[in-house]
Amino acid sequence: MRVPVLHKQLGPSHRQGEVEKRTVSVGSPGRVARTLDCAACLLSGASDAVIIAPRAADTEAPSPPAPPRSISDWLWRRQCGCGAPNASLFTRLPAPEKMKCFSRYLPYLFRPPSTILSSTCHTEADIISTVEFNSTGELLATGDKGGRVVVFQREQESKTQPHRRGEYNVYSTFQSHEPEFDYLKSLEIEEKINKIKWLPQQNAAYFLLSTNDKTVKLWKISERDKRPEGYNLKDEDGRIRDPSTITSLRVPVLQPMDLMVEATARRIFSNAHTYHINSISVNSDLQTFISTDDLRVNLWNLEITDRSFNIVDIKPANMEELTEVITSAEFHPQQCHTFAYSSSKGSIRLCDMRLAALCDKHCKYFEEPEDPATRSFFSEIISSISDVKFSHNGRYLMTRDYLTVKVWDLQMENKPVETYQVHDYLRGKLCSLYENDCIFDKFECVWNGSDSVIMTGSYNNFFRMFDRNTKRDVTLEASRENSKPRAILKPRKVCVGGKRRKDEISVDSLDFSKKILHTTWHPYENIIAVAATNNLYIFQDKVN
Amino acid sequence: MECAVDAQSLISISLMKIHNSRTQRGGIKLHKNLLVSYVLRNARQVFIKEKYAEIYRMQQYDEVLTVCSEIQQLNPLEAEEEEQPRAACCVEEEASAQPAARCRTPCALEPSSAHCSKTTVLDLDTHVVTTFGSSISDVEEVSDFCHKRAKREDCCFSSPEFTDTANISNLISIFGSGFSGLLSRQADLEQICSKQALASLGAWTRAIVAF
Repeated sequence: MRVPVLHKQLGPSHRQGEVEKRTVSVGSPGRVARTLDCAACLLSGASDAVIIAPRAADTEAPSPPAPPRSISDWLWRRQCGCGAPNASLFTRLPAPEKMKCFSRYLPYLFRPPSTILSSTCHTEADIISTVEFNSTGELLATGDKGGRVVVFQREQESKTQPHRRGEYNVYSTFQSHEPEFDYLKSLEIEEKINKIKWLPQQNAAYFLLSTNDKTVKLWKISERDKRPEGYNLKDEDGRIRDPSTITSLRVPVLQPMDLMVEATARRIFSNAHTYHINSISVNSDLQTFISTDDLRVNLWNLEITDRSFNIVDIKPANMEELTEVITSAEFHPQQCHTFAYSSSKGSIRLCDMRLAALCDKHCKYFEEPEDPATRSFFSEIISSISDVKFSHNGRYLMTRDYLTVKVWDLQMENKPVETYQVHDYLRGKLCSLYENDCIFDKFECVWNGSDSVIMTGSYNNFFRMFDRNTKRDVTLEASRENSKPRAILKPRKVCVGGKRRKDEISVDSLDFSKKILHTTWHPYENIIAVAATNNLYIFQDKVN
Repeated sequence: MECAVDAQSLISISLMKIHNSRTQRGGIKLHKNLLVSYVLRNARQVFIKEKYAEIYRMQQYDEVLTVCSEIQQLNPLEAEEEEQPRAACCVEEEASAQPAARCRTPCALEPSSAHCSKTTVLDLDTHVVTTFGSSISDVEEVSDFCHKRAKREDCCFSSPEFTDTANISNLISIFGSGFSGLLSRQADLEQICSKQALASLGAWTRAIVAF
C-alpha cells in the first residue's frame, strides 16, 4: 500500500472569523492494522505502539443498550500476528528505529525525526489530555498537550473475518490548536486540548468541537475517495499544458482514489474568555453550546462566531472577595434549557435559561455539608469538584472531587444519593500530595450507557468502576507489563495497613506520576478508553 | 503524615507555589492559586492560634512573675534575677499588643511611620489600571484598610529577600489583609492583623496580586 504523504498547510494565524485550512492525509483507514508486520517485534515488547485488534466472541451485530455485564469480566488480549485480540493500545512516540514498523499509522508523521524520542520517555506534548467517544461510539477522539487531535474509527464488521470486529484504528490526525501569545497581557496561551465534544452526525462528515484555554474550534472531518481527472488546461501532474497541444475538450470525470481523510476548521470561536476554558458542552438542540472558564459561562450558536452570550458570571466586583470558581459545566442531556455547573467549593448549581438572560440565580443548589471531623488544611482542595456529568437518562448528576465520586438525584439537593470512595487511603497523605502538586489533579468520571456503572481514574494507572446496582467495585490497572496474551484484567487492591498480601500493593509504592485522569465509555457497549499519560488503552468486555 | 505538617512550612510551601505559578506556561491559573490561598489561610489561622496561645501562656507567666516579685520585693538580691525574665516578657507583651505571628520580625517592632504605599492593579477584563495610595499614619484609615479595595501589584519575587522567613511573615500579614473574602469573621483579629500589616508595609510594600 502506498506510504501516505502528509500535507500540512500553514494557514494564517487565527483571526476572528477566518478559517484555517489544514489538510492531513493518512493511509487508508480501516486497512491499517492488517499491514502490521513483525509479530516478533510485537512479542518482544520492543515496539512501543502495539495495535491489538479486538475480538468478538460472538458474531451478532451490535445493538443499543446491551444488558449490563459483570464489571470484572474485562478481557484484554494481545495480538500476535493474526491472533484473536480484544483490546487496543495506542502509544505515542516510538523510537526512531521502530518507526519502520508503525510509521504508517502513528500520528507522528508530521514530526521531524529529530524530535522523536526513545521509547522509554515521551515528550510532554504527547500526554493525552482528553478522550471522547462520539454519540454512536464509532469514533473516538483524543486530544493531547501538543494541540493535536487523533481520531480513531471502529472497523466495520466483515463476514470473512468476524473476529476482527470492533477494532479501533487511526482515522485522522490533525493539529487543532497552536501555541499563541497574547501580547496585551504578555501571556502565553497553551495549545493543550482541554476538551473535545462531538456533534451528532447529520451528514457524511463528522464534526467535533475542540478547545484549548481560550479558543473553541469546530472541526469537520470528511472523507474524500474520488478526485476529478481529465482537466483540459493541466495534466495529471498539475503541470500547465501548452495550449497549442490541446486539440479537444473533455469533461473531467471523478475517478476513485485511495481514501483520504481531511480535517478542516469550519468555525473558530475566540476572544470570549478572559480566564482559562475548562469545559464545553453541546446542547441537545444541536444548535448551541456553552464554553466555561473559571468565572463565566458563555453561550454560543454553532453558526455564529463573532458573538456569544454570557449566561453566568460569578466574578465579584472586587477580585479580593473571590471565594470560588466554576470548575465544569454541562447541558442537560434532554432539556435544552437546563445546565449545571460545579464550583471549587464542592457545590453544583442547576440553572434554567428560561428564567432570565443572566442565570446567576440558580434553580437548584446541591451541596453536602462538610463533616467537621474530617477538617484539615486541605479540606477546601479536596472538596473542589473536578468533573460533573449528567446521567444519560437525565435524572442524576455525578460529581468527582479528589477522593470521592458522588451521585446526586436532581430532586434532592441537600445530599448525594450515593458516595463512592475512590482512594480514601490517600487521606493521610494529603500533605505530601500537596507538596508534589498531585492534590490539584483533576480526575474525570463517566457513566456507562445504561447508567448502571460509573468509572473514574486514580494513581498508579489504576482506574475504578462502581456498579450502582450490586454495589460492587473493582480496581483495574492499565499497563502493558502486567498483561499476558488472552488475559483477563486482574482486579488490583491497595493495601492500607497491616500485613500486605501477595498481590496487593502498598500505598507507599503507588506511582503518583502515573495517573489516569481521562476516561470515556462507549455509549452503547462495554468498551472503554482509558488515557494513561501518553498511552491510550481501549478495553472491551469479554462476551461469553 | 510523613511530611512537615506544621503551619509554618505549609505557609512557605504555599507561597513558593504562588511564586512559581507566575512563571508557569499558560499564565496564572486562577483555580489553583485560589486553592493554595485557602491552604495559606488555614495554615495562617493555625499559626496565629498557636502564637496567641503561646503569648497567652507568656502573659500568664508574666502575671505569676509579677506576683512573685511583689512577694519578693522585700528581698533585693532576687530582684535582679527577676528583671531579666520580666524584660523578656515585656518585650513579648509589647509585641503581643499587635498580635499575630509577626513577633520575630524586626520590622514589626518599628513604630509605624507615615509611609505611603501605592499599589496598582490591572483588571484583566476591562484592562483598567487603578492606582491606590494609602497612608498608614492615620490610624482610622488602618481599620478601614481591610475594607478598602487594596489591590497589589505583582512583583519582585525574584528578590533574594523572598526566602527570608522574616519577610515571609510580613508577606503573610499583608496577604492576610487582602483576600478579605477568605478571612473568617474574626473582626478583632483582622483589625489587629491589619495594623500589624501596615506597620511593616514600609519594609515590604508589594505582595501577591489578586489578578
